[in-house]
Amino acid sequence: MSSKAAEVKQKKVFQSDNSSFAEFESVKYLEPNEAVFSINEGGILTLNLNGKEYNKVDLYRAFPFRFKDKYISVRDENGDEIGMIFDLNKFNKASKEAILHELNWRYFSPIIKRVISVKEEFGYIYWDVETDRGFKKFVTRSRDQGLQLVNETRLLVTDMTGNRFEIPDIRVLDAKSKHLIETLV
Amino acid sequence: MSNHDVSVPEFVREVLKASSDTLGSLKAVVYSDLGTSGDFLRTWVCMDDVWLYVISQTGFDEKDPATLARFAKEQKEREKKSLLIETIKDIDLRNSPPKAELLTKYPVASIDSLKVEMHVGTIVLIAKIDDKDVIITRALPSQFKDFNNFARLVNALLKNKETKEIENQEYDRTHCPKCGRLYPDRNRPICPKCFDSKSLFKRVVGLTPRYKGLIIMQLGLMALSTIIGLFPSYLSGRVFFDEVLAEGGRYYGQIGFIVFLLFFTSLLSRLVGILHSRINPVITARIVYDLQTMVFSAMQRLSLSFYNNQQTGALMNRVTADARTLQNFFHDIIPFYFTNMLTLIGISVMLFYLDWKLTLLVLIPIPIILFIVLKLQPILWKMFSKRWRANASLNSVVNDSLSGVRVVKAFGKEDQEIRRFEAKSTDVYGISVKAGNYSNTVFPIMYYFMSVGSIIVWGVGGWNVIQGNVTLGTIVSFTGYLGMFYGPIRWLTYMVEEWTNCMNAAQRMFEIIDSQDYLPEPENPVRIKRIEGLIEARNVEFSYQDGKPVLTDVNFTVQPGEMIGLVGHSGAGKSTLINLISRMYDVDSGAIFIDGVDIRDIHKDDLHGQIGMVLQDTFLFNGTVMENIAYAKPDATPEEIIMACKIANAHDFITKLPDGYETVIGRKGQDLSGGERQRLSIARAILHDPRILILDEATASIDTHTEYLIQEAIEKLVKGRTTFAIAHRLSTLRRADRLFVFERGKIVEVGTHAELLKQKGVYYKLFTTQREAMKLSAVGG
Repeated sequence: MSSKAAEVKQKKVFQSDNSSFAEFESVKYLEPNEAVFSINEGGILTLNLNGKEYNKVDLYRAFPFRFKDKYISVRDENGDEIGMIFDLNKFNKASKEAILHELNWRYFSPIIKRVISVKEEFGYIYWDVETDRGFKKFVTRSRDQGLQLVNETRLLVTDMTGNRFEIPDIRVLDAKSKHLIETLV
Repeated sequence: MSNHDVSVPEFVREVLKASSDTLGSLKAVVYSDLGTSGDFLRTWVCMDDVWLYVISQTGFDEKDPATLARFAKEQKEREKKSLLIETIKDIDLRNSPPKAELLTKYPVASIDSLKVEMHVGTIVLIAKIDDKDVIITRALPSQFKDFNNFARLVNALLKNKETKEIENQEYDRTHCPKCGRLYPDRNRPICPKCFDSKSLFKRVVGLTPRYKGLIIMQLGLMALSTIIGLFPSYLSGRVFFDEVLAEGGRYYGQIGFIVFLLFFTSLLSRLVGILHSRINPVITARIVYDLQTMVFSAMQRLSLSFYNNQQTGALMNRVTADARTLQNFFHDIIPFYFTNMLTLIGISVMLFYLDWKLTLLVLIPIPIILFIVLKLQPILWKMFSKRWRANASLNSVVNDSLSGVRVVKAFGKEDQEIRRFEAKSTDVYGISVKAGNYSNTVFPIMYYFMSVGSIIVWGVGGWNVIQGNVTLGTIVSFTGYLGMFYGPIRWLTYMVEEWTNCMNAAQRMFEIIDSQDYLPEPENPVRIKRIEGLIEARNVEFSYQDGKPVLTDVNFTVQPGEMIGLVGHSGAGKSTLINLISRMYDVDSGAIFIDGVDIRDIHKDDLHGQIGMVLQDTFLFNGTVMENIAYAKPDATPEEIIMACKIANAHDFITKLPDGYETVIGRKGQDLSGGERQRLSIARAILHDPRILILDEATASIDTHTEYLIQEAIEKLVKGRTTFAIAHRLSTLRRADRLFVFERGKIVEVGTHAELLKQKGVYYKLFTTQREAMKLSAVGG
């Protein structure tokens, strides 16, 4: 059981049995039963790896769009990689919650539920939207900058100041919102 | 200590009062737009002398849509009546009523320092409290500047330092005070609607007092050409039909006369046109040239930190694109605007003069035409620009796969490329059809309504002619003018859009021109004709970004002529030290002395004139080998250049180049190998003959012979100069008189290669791992 994740990893990495690379240092994936993540009283994510305490660790998604729960790089305060999380769902509930807490904050991007108004003038787009975090007004530069279609339906919006929003599926928006967005994308 | 009290909204102040008996004046305040739950609730972090408070909006107890709607309405009304006090103006009350609660407070005495971390979608304010990290609050990335500022201010207050320069953030700079629009970028409070485009325009035009005469002449010519343009319709209608063809007309039968007049006006209008187009490019080119020169020289003056804040690529893009926009502005927009306006006015005058009643009738379809022009035409522009972008992206696919054709073929991915092309091509097809359909529907409709005007004229006018109220010639002239009338209207929207684009471009260019971000010049610069090379650093501290010190507590003395090797991991602070010695940046605290003089007091020319650099990534300008070497000494003689190249072991390969020293290199020219480029830059430094030399060795692997040539050249160059070398090579490490070993922004070990190896400390570790790597690459390479 313990090495199941590792086995999966082995299969994925060396699909073509390319053993000529085997002698080199490879990416270290954290064993779910050896690594315990938690949030300390200061709100900071910590890691206990086989008894070794890391007082502050940072998480980086390697594929923030395609694999939100997988391939997450865990780094110490100096930015050195401790290891990678292959799949956070393999961790126990407490660890998983701690990891998600940190990831949700780090990759914070409110989901736009409704577009109240979109006005394009003076080379900017003025938005007023309702998100899962509340109402928000913001501005993006027009001509597509700041709007990124990750795939056919998912739209990422980055405003002039670097705040991020997303629409996971344009198709499920209400008719008015869809119409407002259509002219932009 | 600064004693300015900074403001918070009244309801927050009440919470503050309730939560502290000793509430003093607030020393620092910052707010975040995120509550602890991640909802858009405003959270304030305030500090007085005793406590650091964290206060947050409470949010609605229940998110009842009716309550929300009521609040939204109330806020709108208050905004309208300007009842919102400044400090809560930019709080979105749709998310929460103006109510807050204390989340927590920390005794100021327990706080060591604050820092801000930038994550992907949020930033985090972290305090070090009793040696432990504690997250104070999170905020949106847009507020990084505010929080950074806040952290700096608090850190300074904690250390009891002077805080004059650090100002607390201003409230209400998220919205334009005039029109209430959000600023697109809160860190750059400029409202695109309200920034003073009139004065901006004046400033743009004001660049060119020298060309006043030409410009006035130009305007005169445009007016003249417009007036001339009004003649033919009058002549061919009113005059021809009523005076020449009609019996009893003033010029009855004088067909030759009218033909001559028509011929003459046509010729005159051509002549004026030619004159106008000949002057126009001259003015445009001069104005744009002036503006570009201003921007470019401003950019040269700016300190490196400006370039670090702005992406260089974006910057260049901006300058060239904006210059092009402005050129367009002077070349096309202004003349176009001016003549169109004049034409509109001229035609209106003529129409009313000919028959004012008929004119009023003709105006009936105007609202419909205006609707099409103002509402429907912009959609079409958008479609066209979409089509343009789709085309551009198609081209970039073609470009990509053609320039990467080797890779494509090597991996056998031709089919994949074809599919990629097809996908883009389909996009272009789709949008083209859409735009085509749209324009082929909208324009005929518009033309139809335009023709309605003529039909009215024929109908009503014809009836009037029969009645004898109006002459035939009048009607002919009238329809002629009518045809010219709609043209300028069509371009109205286009003009407005172009005008804002141009003003935006001008604004951005002036922003660079006005930028104050350069290193201060000393008031009484010290001249040092010949630097001896004694370099001292005392308690040097530096950070590119607040809260992230790159160098701390750096102290050393380097004797003239000494060679120092700088060793350490990347990011340890080696390059930063070099940036400071060459005064690309100024130290945050402490000082660096050359020959006993603070480098901030040394005359810029003396300092930069006597520091030479051989950098890892040698930049070669477009130009000949000779020009590149002589960059720092343009008046160098060929003999000097050849001598320098000989010493740099570059002479041999240069003479073997087809055009010798006159071979064009750089982006447009001959490709040089890494080793050749390095030797050119050594030659450049030799010719420059600096007193202080900075070497940043290339890490790229080079064959042993070239390596030997470079080493030999460097050895000659180093002699007799104070040298700092960022050392990657063993030979450099051995040759250096002393090595400074950097770790996390500090010099942790100093000594010769042999001494440091014996110590078995940081250097020993670095060296042995590097040697392993060298072995590996030697085996592999």
